[in-house]
Amino acid sequence: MLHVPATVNELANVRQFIRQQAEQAGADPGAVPDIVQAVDELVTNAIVHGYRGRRGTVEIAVDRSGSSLIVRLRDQAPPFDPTLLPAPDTDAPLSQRPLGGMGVFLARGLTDSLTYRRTADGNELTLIKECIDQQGGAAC
Amino acid sequence: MLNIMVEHETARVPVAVMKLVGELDASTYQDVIARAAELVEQGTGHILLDLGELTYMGSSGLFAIHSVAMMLRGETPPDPEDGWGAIHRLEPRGSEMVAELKLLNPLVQVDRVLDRTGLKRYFETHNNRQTALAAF
Repeated sequence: MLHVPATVNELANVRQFIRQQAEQAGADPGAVPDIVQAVDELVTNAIVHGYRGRRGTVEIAVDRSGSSLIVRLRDQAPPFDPTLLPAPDTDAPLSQRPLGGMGVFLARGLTDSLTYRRTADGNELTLIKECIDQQGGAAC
Repeated sequence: MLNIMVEHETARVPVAVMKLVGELDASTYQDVIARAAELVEQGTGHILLDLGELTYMGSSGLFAIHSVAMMLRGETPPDPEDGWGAIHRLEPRGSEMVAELKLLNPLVQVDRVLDRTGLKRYFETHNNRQTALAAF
């Protein structure tokens, strides 16, 4: 588990942590950049749009279950559920896409599941990527 | 960590080659905008953005690229808080590519971000520096 201050200067450390954890968990090397980017975008979102310069921390926990790599992000920023942002129609002209949520859009496209839970003191996002082959090969 | 290196070339028009080395995220994208703003202020009208050693780009990097394009057009760069709304403002001139800014050698991850978000279609992307310079 990693706790970092809610500052964008920690993003490189977050990416390094996720990369190492995903590799140690046996994630398909081809999927690791997806996981790293999805986490980076959501942590950025929490820091920039959640905390908005206020002091706080972001907690990142990585686990695995079967073929799933599970990443949980927790913060104590004001409640915000990014999964409620409408998914843009990528075939539509840019001018017809909804506003906001570019990072969230990327994160959703790079993971198999993204869920939100309001906690007693903040927000929790759970990302799931099916990328671990229990037989030893790649699952994704 | 992001390093920005600039070289000046003369093709059919003067071109500043901005090489980004490292990672472009929410902690570094404003450095790109600031460096490009200096170049524009010094009279640069065309930039070739060399992405061949950019190993990571988050969505913040899209704003940087977009902001550079707008500055080269003499427009005020967007507010990152605008999200997709900022990119909408690239469109009033139609679907044509941005002539003042071209991209060189994006790595797979960076190319994918540009592609997934629809920004790639606004910029010519080249794999050869001389070809890219000749395209201005």
